[in-house]
Amino acid sequence: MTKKSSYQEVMAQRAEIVKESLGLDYAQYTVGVLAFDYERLLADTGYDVETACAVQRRTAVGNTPLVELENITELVRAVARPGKGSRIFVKDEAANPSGSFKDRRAALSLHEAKKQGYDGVAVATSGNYGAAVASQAAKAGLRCIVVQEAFDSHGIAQPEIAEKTRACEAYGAEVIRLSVGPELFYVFLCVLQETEYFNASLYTPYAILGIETLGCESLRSR
Amino acid sequence: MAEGIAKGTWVEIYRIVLPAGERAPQVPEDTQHVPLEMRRVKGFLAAPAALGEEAEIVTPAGRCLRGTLVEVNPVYTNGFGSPIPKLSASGSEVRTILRKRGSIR
Repeated sequence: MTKKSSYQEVMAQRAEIVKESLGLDYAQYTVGVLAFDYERLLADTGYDVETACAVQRRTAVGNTPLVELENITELVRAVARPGKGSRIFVKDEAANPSGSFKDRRAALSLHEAKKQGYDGVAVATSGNYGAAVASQAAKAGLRCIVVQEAFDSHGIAQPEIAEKTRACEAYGAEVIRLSVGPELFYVFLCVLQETEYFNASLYTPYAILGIETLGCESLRSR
Repeated sequence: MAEGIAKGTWVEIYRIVLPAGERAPQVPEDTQHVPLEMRRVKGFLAAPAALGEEAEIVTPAGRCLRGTLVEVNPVYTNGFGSPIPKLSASGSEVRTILRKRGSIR
């Protein structure tokens, strides 16, 4: 990181940096003072659910097993009133390549990043999504930077985040491990500005669309 | 200056990103008194350097970053912690319930 810009300077450029890093201008979707047109935002991505499924299949994401938890169902019925106690199923999202449902979201982000011709992706996350983005970036042959809020104010690493550091690094990502603070987003913006990488944030329409396939699969496997 | 660590070694560096007093205005007063730290980033040493000295690394993303060299071949130390005593007996409790209901032998 060569940046020496202050917090205020970078935050003032926030909208511009996000626009450049996504190829998308959120401003066109604003409605009135508080709202924005969410449906149109998602529709404009050009992905419907079938397309999202197809993108995910290419990297073995999704189509996870729906497993009945017979023992758990039985335990529930042991305490439920007679005739009550639903059958309990789990959609085993740990069967995804990086071990969580976040692969669904990352698959769409990385597909879009590659389509738009970016050299790499960056993301600010301390959890499973980082591992998912790093995994998908490796598959796509793109560079990856993960910014984590990894240490508390005493410099102690949170174990569940440390495990995600390990996973991201195993997938070949650069991991920036910060101390606690809202400036995580500031560092993320600095990284985007310096690298001109794609913004693989969880909250882009691509990452949001990626999760819709989970509901479809669950309905179809009834 | 001692330059004990060879170029190309896998290392970890530390840097202060925002010094105390230059943090986001919305952070609480006590947080304003501590810096925002890039506590750790890993990469390959771009040139020979010594522990505790300024060093440059090339990260897996291909970026050059500068900071204080703090660890060579950094170790992952995270684990699963101690077993939770209250949970130790839960397996046999569950088995007893399921046995009573006839769903297991």
